[in-house]
Amino acid sequence: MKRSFFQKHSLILVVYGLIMILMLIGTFNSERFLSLRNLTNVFRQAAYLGTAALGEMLVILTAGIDLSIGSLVKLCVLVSAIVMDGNPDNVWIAVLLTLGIGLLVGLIHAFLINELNLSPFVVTFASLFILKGISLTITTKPIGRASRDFLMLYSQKFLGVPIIIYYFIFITLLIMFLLRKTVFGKHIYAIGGNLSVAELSGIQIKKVRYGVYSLCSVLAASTGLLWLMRMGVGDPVIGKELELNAIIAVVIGGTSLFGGRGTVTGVIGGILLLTFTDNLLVVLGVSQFISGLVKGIIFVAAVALYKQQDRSRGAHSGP
Amino acid sequence: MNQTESKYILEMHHISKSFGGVSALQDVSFKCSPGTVHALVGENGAGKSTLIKILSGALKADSGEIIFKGKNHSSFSTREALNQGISVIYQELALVLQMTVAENIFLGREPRNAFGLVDQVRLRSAAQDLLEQLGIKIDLDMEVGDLSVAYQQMIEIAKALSKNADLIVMDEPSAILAGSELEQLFKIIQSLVKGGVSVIYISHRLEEVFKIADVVSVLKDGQLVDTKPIKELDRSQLVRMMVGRSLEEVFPVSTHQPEDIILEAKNISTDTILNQVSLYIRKGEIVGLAGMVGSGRTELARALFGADMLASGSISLKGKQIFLNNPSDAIKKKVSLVPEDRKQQGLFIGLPIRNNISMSILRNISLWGFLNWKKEKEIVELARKKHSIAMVSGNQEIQFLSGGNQQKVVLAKWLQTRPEVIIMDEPTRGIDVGAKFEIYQLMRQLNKAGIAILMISSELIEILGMSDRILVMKEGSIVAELQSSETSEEQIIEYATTK
Amino acid sequence: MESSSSGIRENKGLRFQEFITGYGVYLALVILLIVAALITPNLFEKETLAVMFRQCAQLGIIAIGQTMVMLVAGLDLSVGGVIVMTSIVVAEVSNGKDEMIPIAILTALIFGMLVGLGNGLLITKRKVPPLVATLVMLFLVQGAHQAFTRGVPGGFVPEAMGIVNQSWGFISIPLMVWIGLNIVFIVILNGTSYGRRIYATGSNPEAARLTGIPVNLIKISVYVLASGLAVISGVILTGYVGYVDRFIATGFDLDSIAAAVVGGTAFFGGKGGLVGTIAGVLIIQILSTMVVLIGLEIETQFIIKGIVILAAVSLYGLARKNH
Repeated sequence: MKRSFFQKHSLILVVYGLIMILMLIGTFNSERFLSLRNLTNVFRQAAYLGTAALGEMLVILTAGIDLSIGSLVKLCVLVSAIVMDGNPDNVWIAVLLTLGIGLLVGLIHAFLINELNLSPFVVTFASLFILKGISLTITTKPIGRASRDFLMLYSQKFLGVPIIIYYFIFITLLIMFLLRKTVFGKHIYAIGGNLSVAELSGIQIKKVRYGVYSLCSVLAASTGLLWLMRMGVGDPVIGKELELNAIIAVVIGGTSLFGGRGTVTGVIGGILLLTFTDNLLVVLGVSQFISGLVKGIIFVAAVALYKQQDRSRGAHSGP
Repeated sequence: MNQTESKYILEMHHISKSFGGVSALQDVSFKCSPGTVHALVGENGAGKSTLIKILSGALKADSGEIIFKGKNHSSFSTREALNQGISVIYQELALVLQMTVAENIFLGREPRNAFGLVDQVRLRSAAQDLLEQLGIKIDLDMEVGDLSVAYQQMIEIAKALSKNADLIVMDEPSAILAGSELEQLFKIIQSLVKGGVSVIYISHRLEEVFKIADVVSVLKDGQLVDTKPIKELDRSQLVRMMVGRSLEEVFPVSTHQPEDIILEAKNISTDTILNQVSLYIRKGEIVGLAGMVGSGRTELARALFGADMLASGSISLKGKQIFLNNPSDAIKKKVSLVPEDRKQQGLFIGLPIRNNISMSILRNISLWGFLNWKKEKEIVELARKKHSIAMVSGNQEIQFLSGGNQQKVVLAKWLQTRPEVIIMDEPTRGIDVGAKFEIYQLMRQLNKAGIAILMISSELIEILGMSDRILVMKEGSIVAELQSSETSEEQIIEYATTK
Repeated sequence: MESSSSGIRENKGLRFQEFITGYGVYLALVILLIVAALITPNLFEKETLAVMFRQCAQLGIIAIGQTMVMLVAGLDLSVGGVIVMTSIVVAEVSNGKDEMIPIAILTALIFGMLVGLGNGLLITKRKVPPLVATLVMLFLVQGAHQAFTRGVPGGFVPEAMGIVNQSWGFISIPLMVWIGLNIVFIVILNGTSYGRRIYATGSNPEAARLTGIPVNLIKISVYVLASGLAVISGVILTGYVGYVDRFIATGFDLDSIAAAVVGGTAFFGGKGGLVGTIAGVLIIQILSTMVVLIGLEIETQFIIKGIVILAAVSLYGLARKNH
């Protein structure tokens, strides 16, 4: 009756197995791959996708989705660059304003879903357009400037490790803590697992949604700040298809799009798999023309490898 | 309002409720003493679940009052009902399958520590205590979805206990529990009652009512027939109270003699539960298939219809072996299935009635794939008249029809294919008495026309009243074949449950 | 007595819902046209209309496939990828020779439909949610473009394909193709047993299976058709542009979903249809054109699209809730 460890964690094992294989290939084919420098690089890159993907995961766990995070990151890069405008005195204002925009967007999403009874897919789909429209109306060319200090944060290290990695670890632990230790976390799983049961159990569904969507958007906003650190300017190209990559990382990490099932460990696996694939293709000197195809094949294989399991839902399932 | 010292924990006075002009409950009064098991019995559609929904706050009564623990509540909200100590365990269990046993028990009421975090230690120890109190051994960290229905039910009871419920309502637990599992439930109920908890036990199985209940109330057609201590009643009295008429009055009499065997299954097994099942059905015969939920009845129906694959065994039609890879094969061979769950499996809820009726015979009403709308309209009109379906037009979406009319549409859909064998899985579930009677009559008509019917039902009265022959299933096998004229409810239950 | 009274009430609710879901979008279209006549009368100039209708046609052809996919409770994000692929394949295979056009288009159709088949198989056989399935297929197709072209598309677009630029007044060949395909697929969806089965599959797949409908086959066929339609749109775009452009289809995937949604097709399947989608396409393109005519930044059209989507689904939601 009880499922074995391997059955229960088969998805996660597949993901980490794939990562191990990639690492072995990397190790045997390139001296550079296992170097500290390359590894810190990979993990720093993982922070960019990862911060957004962890937020996306929270939303997906409630059987929702957020299609707008790419557009939101775009908007946040622009706004923070414009506000900062190379002036160190404006750093805090820019950071707070950016995070504030994230919070506001998340609250609006949750409001529309809660109060107008719209599906998360539609709300964030519309929001994708609106945020992208606002961003591109502001500018279609790079704009604004990070302050020097802010730009330096990208390469700044503590004990030899880039501080961006510490940030990513902090976010990961925070989400893990949230999901495992807090009542809020339990309720996220309950809502995604069975909405009506959650409601009957007296869980405040609307409140949980407000929390989840604002967290997701705030994390996306912080990803925008990370991009400003890296680029130094507000580039409207940033954020393109980020939501799609985030969703893929979350799904490959074993999170069910139907909600209620998924772990941070798995999603980190999904994030690392995506990042390592990118890195390996570069390190091995694979032509950038081929690397897209290789990635496509890995993605298709990864999602085809396991059937999405879903016991709680009946015959019907949306997109 | 005057009784402050009531000897009852619950009193419901003059409760009435109607849905869109149709009365579901009429002036029902109901009292329940502390520390007793109060059985609430009646046929399907008698109003039991409406009454319970009003008690739990899920529905609001049109009139009447509820007095719980001496306090008057004109209407409950679900939350109030819970806080006051009323817990209802529905057949459709309120559990999140992906979460663990312990998490489910305290869902929405997780114990917290000083930091406001979930207190895992207390959560687990409290859950452990509750399970021990109930005498169940389950791993607290197992996902509830991995447990059997019986254990899931126990977890629901643990959940009710954790809320300090004074009154636990169990909605037909015997529909999903069988044999030893039911025995264990009875033991638990007895210990609960000893602890001062009151239990309202809903059922239409008489045997268990006599076994467990202290007091019994009978509902019929939305009215309370009577409330009596169980000791003052015997079986036949209770049956008369429930049915209020002899079986012949409810069920149209069969005047037809079964003919040759039409469908025969030999030693069929599936990967799920079916184990070496053999059966035959004759032309113009109604075979009743009884058994607990989960005994494999539905799986048998699905296997005979090609919806589930056979692992071994064979099926033959009119003496010739047939191979069914999918439902479409079965339909071509003139076998039909009216599925158990109308909403999930029978209806296209967002589509018009017209589409629903013609969906099974698109081939017959189209030429090279193009539909003949005129022909379709005629068919729909014919079905409407023949089955007296109350509808506005064929373009009306089917979700606006009542349960009984929806079921008639599903039947009409299947009759379009001119089947020779119809498998009906719970054909009268959730529909009112009038529509039920019409469906019984329809079944007799089909019978007369030489159509063979395999009817699955949880209602033994229906099984006894309609069937020529009765098959009883248990744990994936057929354990008994009975002539309906020579058997009784007790005998069927005995075969269906005893080890 | 009570059945007749409730019958009348049902009928009223039914009429309101039918009106909003069936004609509400046309009402919006008429209002939009009146507004356009007032603030941007130059929208109705022949040249403007010609350009706008061409754009409608390009988007509209894809939206036909997207609508059908959504009717089976699916979604297709790979259409943009298929359009670009069409462009590349046509140029490579024909290499500028007019007589090779049929073979080139046929090849593109085969490749396109293979993508659709991949989508369908992932969704039905591996139970991958449509969003993810079509997304990974998109990445695969994009990767294949890059690998094949090495970033520099080879081959030439045959001159004869410029025929798609042929027009008479504001009636152009793409517009006629769009109208023609709409007629064909409206007939298919409403007048054939295949169309009925599509709706049934989207409305309740389990009931459909038990009614003998080959649900998986229907789903796969719809994804294949959607990809096929994307190829047709790709051929038109390629002929129009006259060279291979990697960014030829940017935004088409999301816009086609938006058009279907605005037209009243639901994400959960079985509800909606092409008549609504046509209006959805028109509304989106008229608004986009108006944005340009008013002199706003062209990018503001994204904002307007987003607001229109929200307004449309809120209205449909209201209509459904009303009974």
